[in-house]
Amino acid sequence: MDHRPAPRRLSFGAVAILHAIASGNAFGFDIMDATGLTSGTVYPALDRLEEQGLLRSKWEDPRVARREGRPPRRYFTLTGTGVAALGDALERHKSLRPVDLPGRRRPSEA
Amino acid sequence: MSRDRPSVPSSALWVALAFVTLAAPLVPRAQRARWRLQWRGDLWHQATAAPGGPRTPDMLTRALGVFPHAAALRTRTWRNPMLLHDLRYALRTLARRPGFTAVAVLTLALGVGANTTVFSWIEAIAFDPVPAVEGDDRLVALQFAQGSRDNLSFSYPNYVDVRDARLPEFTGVAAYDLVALNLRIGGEPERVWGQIVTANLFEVLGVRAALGRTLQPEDDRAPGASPVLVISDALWRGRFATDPSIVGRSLAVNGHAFTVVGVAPRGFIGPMNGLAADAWLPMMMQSTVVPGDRLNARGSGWLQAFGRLAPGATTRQAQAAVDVVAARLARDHPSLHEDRRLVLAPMWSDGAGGVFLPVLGVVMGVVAVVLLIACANVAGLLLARAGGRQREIAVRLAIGASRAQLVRQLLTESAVLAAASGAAGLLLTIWTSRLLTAVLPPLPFPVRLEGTVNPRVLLFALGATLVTALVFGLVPALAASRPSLAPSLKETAGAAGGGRGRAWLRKGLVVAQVALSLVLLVGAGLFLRTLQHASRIDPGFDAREGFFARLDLQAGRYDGESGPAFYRELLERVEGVNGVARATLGTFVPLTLGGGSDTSVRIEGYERAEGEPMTIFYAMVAPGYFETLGIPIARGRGLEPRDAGDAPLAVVINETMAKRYWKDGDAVGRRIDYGSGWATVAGIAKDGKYNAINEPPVNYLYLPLYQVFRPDVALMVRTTGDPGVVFPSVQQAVRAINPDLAMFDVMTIEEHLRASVLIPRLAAWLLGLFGTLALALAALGLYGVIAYVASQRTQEIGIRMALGADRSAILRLILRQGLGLAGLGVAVGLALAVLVTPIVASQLVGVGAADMATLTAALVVLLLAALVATWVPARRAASMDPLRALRYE
Repeated sequence: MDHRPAPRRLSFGAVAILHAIASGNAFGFDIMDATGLTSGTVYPALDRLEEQGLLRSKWEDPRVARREGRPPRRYFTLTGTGVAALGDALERHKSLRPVDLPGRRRPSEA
Repeated sequence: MSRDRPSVPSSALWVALAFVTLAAPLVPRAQRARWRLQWRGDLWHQATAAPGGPRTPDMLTRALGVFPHAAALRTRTWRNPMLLHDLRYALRTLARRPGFTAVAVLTLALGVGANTTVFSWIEAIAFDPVPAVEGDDRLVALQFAQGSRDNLSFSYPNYVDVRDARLPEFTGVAAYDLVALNLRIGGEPERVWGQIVTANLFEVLGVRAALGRTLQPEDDRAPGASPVLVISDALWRGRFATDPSIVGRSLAVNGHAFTVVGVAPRGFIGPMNGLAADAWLPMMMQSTVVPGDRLNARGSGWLQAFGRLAPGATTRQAQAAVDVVAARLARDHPSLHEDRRLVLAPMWSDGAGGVFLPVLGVVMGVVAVVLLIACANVAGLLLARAGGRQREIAVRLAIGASRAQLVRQLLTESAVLAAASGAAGLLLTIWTSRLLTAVLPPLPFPVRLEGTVNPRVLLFALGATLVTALVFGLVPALAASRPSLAPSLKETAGAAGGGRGRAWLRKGLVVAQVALSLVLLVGAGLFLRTLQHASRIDPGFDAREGFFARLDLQAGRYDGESGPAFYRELLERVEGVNGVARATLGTFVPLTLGGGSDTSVRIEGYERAEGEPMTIFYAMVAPGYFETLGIPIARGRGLEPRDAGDAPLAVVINETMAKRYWKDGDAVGRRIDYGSGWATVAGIAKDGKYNAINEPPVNYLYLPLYQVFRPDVALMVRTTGDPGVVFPSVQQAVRAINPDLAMFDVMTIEEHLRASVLIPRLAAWLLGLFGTLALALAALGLYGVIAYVASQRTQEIGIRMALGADRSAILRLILRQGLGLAGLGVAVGLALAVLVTPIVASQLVGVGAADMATLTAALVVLLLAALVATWVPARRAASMDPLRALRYE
């Protein structure tokens, strides 16, 4: 598998997915629940992020799965690169200063 | 694979897993196994983790993600960029014409969904005849056959002979009978369907108890020695709240104490296809539960028998083995068995399947035709669209695309359409497969038939979808990829219509649709006429206001003396109720679904011909039977109160029987032996219908209930007003003499007669539904073609108008073309209908397969639909502005 260098900027979707994984959502459907993205977006994105070296996937111990009578699950964790990339992205997003939106209070005043 | 399955797979999970299987070929081979495992794991998690189970739409929308995911993986290691290109191009083309795409997908989804639904019903009967039993494909029903009659039941001694032959072709042979039981759980008596079974039944089926034990051979050691029963999981849950201490508890069954020894596994309903039992009692308890000692009477058939084929044994070997047993029975008991054969039959033939499968077979043929029409329709749509894409195709050919590439492109579009339709059709099936029981009227049997979406049904849907894609995709793809280059590139309106070949094809498709839908309309019409006829047939009794209810005196409580006394008091009380005109009792209500019993007879002075069966249907009836139901007595008298106790045995026969066995037809005073010694014919009753509304005249025998006591009878009441108003008072009167006496299967005479035409009603309903669908599709197809043809002729119409043709001439021009096509379709359809309808002739009543009225009606309906479908585009063509039409390109 070729490890392409991580792109300088991550898409919002990718950030959301990395963020969801960093918050402890390790499985495909949990990530969908956390991000609100569809399965058609999340699964290809997971593959891509893994290829870019931002994610690492592991298979659950098949013995555990077999004992519970179900197939094993694949779960995802961030790599060091992934943590760094997510940190950068969050930093960048933080630089978006709060703005006044018509009909909404600023989050800080909430 | 099998350990990956959930313990209780939901239909939604099955469908989701099917999506995975469908999309898997898209994934590069190297990644496929991992990919599949990942999706399975996650879908599984979704199915099991959601509180209260997953919601089907959620599950399915999420599962749809397998397709983009698989496509994304494929694109990264793409070796054949053309195929991906084709796919993208197809998706884009379809998305650009959402109206066309929606109509095509919906049309095909209806076709695929209808086929899959009906298949799921047939599958439930034929492929899973005995639910919750492993290896039920190795089970075979054993039946006696004589002359033209088959499915004759076993007597217990017959069963023992087969069992003790220890045929090596069978690992075991068991027998059972469905009985209504009166179960006392707490206060009220409750009616439950049970089965009296040979104690090896569970062993032969290979069913183990979920709790406690099943019946075992020890339970069949001696008559009356083992009052035990096994109850169903459904009863245990429904009535005992899964009480774990149920084993060992004593229940009153028909007034006798029985001990529960076990609970059957979930989903087990007994060996009878589609008819659910809730309790199983050992054979040796027969006389405690149902009247009479049936264990020694070789002549009285009442059991359904079946066996499990030994590993490696074929049905042919098994048939040869039972032939030997039948020959031995014929030798040992010539009077009963001389001409009886023993035959193997599928397990479903002994249950509900035997009744429903023939109808469902017809319906399957019908939905297949609907799918064909849907295919022809969509093929027509694709052809029309290909006409519009002529220039695009010509350009692609001109810059070097090969014909194969174009065909592949067009086929990819068809495949995408088919895949979407297959998925939509499957969704439809999830909801409709459970509808079979919903369309049945109340029946006096515990019918439990339900289709489920299982792997076999999925495979069928997949196959149907593939065939569909080929049928509707290939023809237009081939036709469209062969344009004449030069005119297409020049984009002249006339040529863009496509070659002659394609126009011919589209018209052919419309003719086919019209023809096929005419066949379906004729079929629907025939069954409607059958229904109409059947409800007009004279059932032989003229009582119409009143009701029937079954009673069960609980075997053993009454005997030949106290029973009739009780009946007399009962009828006296009931007839005393305000609103009751007359009341009687009988073991059989005419036209009860499932048929009646028969008995062997000897007739004084009649020489039985070699091989002539002497079995005659009978009912045991109380005095007042003929008066209550309104059956005229042609000669002699009916049964009267004096035909009781030790009085000389008297019987009443029907006219058919009198004519059959006595030359002059005057049987009064002659004698018959039906197994209880010689009885004298007291009277001859008018013929009626007994087992089915469409049966030919049959011999019938009425025996006096007060002389031959039976505790399982039906109370028949004729009222002077609304039976619903009278019933509660009758119930009160019955309770007053015996509070334990349950009345069940209460039906007004009207309801009873309606239930007797169940099969034609079901057929008319389903055929009517699908016939209407087909008609709508065909009309849509015709409309499409005519609208298209009219638009192709715009310029020509402009010229005609400019040269002086008026609007009505244009209208006629287009109408003639449309109706010409419809007329051709009708002609082909009529020929087809005449060829095809004899298939259902045996299920029709009072109407021939080639019924002129039905053919004419179908023809008129179809031509009217065709007229409407043509009128709309014809009007549009005729109201064109000639100047604009001339300029039209």
